[in-house]
Amino acid sequence: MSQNMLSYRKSYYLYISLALILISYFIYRSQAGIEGSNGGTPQGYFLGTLATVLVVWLALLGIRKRSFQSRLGSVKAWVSAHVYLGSSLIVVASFHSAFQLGINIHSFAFLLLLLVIFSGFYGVFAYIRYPAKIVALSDGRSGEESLALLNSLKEEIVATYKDLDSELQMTVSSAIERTDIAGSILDMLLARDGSMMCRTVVGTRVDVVSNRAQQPLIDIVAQRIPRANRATEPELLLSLLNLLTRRQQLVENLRVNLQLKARMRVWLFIHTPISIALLVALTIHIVSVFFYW
Amino acid sequence: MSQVEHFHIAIIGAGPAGLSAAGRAAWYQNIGGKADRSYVLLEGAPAIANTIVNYQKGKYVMSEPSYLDLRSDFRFSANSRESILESWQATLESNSLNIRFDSKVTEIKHEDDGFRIGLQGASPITADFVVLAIGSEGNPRRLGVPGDDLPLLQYTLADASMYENETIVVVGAGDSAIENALALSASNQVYILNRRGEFSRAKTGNLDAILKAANDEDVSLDCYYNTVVEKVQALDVADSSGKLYKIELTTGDGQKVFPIDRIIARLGSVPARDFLEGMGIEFASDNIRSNPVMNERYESSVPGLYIIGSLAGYPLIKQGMNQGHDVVSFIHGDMIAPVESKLLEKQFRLLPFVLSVDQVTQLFQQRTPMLNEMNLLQFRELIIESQLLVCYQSEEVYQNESRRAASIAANSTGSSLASTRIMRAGEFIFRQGDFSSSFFTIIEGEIKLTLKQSGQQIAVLGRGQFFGESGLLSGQPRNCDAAAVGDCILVETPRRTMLKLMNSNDGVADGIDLIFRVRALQAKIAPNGALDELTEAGFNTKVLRFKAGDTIYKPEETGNSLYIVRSGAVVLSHINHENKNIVVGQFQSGSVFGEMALMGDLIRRHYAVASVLTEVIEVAQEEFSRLVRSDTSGIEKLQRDVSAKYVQQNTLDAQPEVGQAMQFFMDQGLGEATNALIIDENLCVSCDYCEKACAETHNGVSRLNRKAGNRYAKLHVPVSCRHCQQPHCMKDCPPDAIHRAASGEVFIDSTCIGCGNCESNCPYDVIRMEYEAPDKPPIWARLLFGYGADVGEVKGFQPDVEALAKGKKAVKCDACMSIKTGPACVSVCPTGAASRIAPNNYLTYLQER
Repeated sequence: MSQNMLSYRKSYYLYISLALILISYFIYRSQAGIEGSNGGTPQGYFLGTLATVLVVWLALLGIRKRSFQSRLGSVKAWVSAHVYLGSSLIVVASFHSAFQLGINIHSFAFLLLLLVIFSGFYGVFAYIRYPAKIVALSDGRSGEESLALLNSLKEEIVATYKDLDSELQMTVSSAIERTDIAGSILDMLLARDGSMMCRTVVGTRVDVVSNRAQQPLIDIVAQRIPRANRATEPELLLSLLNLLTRRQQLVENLRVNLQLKARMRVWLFIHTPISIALLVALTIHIVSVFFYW
Repeated sequence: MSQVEHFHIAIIGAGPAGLSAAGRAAWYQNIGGKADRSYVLLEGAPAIANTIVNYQKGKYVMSEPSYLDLRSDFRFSANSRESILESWQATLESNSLNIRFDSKVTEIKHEDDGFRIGLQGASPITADFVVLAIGSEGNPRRLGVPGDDLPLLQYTLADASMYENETIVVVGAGDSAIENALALSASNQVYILNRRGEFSRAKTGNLDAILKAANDEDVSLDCYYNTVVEKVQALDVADSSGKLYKIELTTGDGQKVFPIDRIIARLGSVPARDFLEGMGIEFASDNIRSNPVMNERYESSVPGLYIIGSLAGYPLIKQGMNQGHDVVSFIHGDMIAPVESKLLEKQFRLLPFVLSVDQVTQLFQQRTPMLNEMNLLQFRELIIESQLLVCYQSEEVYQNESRRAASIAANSTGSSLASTRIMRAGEFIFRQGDFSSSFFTIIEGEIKLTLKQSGQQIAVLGRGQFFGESGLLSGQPRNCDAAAVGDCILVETPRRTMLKLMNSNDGVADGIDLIFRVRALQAKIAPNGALDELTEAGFNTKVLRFKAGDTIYKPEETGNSLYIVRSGAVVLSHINHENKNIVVGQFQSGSVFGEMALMGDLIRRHYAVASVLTEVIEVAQEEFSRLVRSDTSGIEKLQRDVSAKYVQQNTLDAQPEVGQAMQFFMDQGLGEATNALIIDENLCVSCDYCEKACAETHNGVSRLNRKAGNRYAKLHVPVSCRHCQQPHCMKDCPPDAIHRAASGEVFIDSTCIGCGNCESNCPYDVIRMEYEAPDKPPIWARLLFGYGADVGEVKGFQPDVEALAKGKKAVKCDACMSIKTGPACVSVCPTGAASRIAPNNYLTYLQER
């Protein structure tokens, strides 16, 4: 098993976090019971300072990963520590707050903190789980190679349907042109498939109908085979069917691939901006608390 | 019959060397008092310096080697291509040099006391002396059929639109032939003749295009496969369509004869060597890289025929120009001292001798029997390109000499030549594990070779002997420490110079080769063996060479020799119980394999296949037995190693995925790597920070292409330098700008002239020619204001004026040798997907995944 961010150095930072949680618990418990515990007691201040130091250090990952000549340890070590210590922050911050939450700026900072951490949980999940899946779907090809393959399949399909009737040609070529997957980040996340194709419905009327997952087209071609008129048709149709099925596999894999890639990216749209918001809210929380003093 | 034109000197080729020669010949005629000594400069192209004209526009031409002075009637200094050509053209015209353009030389015949020079499309001339300055580009391969001297045949096509409504035959199946045929088919009837049944050599785009055109009835291009030209004839009377020639072909379908207007033959080029040998010029060896045999006046084995410039093995412009000047002086009887004499004088200044340059040179050659076999020209060059090392036992003398060396260095004007180095006796010349590859010759004194860890002495070498040859031949790091015992004088020659020498001098090559074999036998088989036993065994071993993919032995064969890998990599594999071929071992240079058949199991159980170009030393059963009988100290280690190998092989047998992954690595050429970047696709999130970090730590130009490269079973080998054991890029670098650091990284320094040889030579495409990238705004401005581009290389960046003037230079990964934390790609990878590993760790890496 290759070492990932959770198993880095035999999960060394897990133990550090657990130790931190344990220490926070004992500090919290050393306060005089529920009425006596809040963020303003000496223990509360200590936990608050600890939580702040953690938040600032966690945010510094953004700087470390762009300091390409830094000597402060490799980025993967930082990421492993970031994940574990960030998780422990829920406990530390909760104990600091002594669970006294309400509709105010202080609790808002806490909410932002939770949003950041939970989006981070999703990030860890995505980073651990999805790379292998994406690779499996890519079948050893790079992005460019997949597109090149798609292109060459298209050319083969065009060469094959050349000798078939014009209606089928229209249907197949329109299905290829109207293959429509992904798009915006939301489309990628939803694995959107808006593929359509043109079909002659009655006489000369042409409708644009769905070719979702490329399956309807395949069904059409498959149905033509036993109903073929000319002797040369079945062979051509079988070739076409084979090519279309291979193309379908490729397109579907691409669609899922893009979905997984989007999932790997989307959490950062929450995690990073909310971290900045958190830093601001945290500053306000700390400064305003000193006014209470 | 007109009188044949006669000249005293005929200079062939108007490149820098030829121009310089003509300049000096003109000087002798006009000023030197030799008015009757005529000369002519013949150039096949319509303008001077064809090779430089074909450099990219605006290219900044360097004037390496900087330590060499220029001695020529033409000027040359580092500048843009345009300025240099302009300056030469001006000198050419102001001196009214006797130059003839479009005068392609077709043959040179040595007759009586002169030469007869045949010219294309003109009458031949004669000369007393010939200077060949034709460069190292080849000559077009001729059609070689009756009638191929008729004017309708040409070997180039300058502009296809020049011809209209003609019937043109294009002979050839390469890219040039196809491109010419396609271009001509727009307005002419074109027939393209292919000797074979398919266009296999061409680039894919050309292949598709020619097939499409040939099959398209609307395009006036037809293709004849399996066709050769039998002959070409001029018609006495133009035929009905006005054509003046007819061509006779033998095609796959029989004979064909038809009238034509023109033939364009694109059959590739004949290397200059065949052309020269056809004139009677001898080459130093059969080795394709060897140079013509010349004496120290540049005269070839044909008396009166001189060779200078890149053809003689001196690819740099300044050298060629100096030679042009000198060779004409020699022809006129002026035996001037070479330009290098001053340099040699500087080098010898710090030696503890009071002798002239010639005396020292003589002494050196006498002391080293092997170097005695070189001619004076080669020897001088060897010394200039080498560094002298003087070691002193006495501390007082060492201090004095060091001070003297320092003051000389302070006074000398920025010479890039390595000045003589003063060392203490006992100080390490190199240490075990260093990646240096220079070669040492002992002029005086003794050198002790020891093992780093144990301090055990391996050998003591004396005057006339050499060491350091294994780095030269195998690309492996040093296998021992070396230090002087008492006072000592050494010549340290860089690898590139030694290789050039070995390629052109069989005696030197054989001598070094033998010692390499003897020392390999000592290291691997008989560490305490007697020298004469080892030497005899050395004579009885052979070096075998295998191309990538060649089989060294197969299963079921009787094994009667073992092998020591000298360079390259060998993979051991076998067909397992599931009928799959899996890798069970891989061996880098310095390793032994095949010994199992000599120690116990007599039948070969595996395929031994070379994964890259590999050289092995074959040691037969009898030699092996004799050596281990005479010295039993090495046998125990051999037996231990064999047992360990059996265990490893069976372990791998039980892990076929690991074996197949190893095969994948070998197929990517990682067998010859010393430091390869591998990406584990189980972890890679495609953030591209490895590439971005590379760009940001290397002036904005990335040396890594993450998306490219091959993939197998969740392993990805992106396109990035592997720092090969025997770097392909180093092979042909004219300014010698590519070096290997002692810690193993192969890097390109700032003396790169942008010629692109390294890019062509690298089989892994890891070198790019690129301009310097413009500066980017600082990161905080980018993060806060969105101003400027993000981290990493700006794709399609526009170089600024200064960068454009400098031209494109070669860039490649240098394993971040100047960064303390090591390769940026690895340290910045957030998930740990990127690793840089050495071959001896491939197995562990694969097994841990």
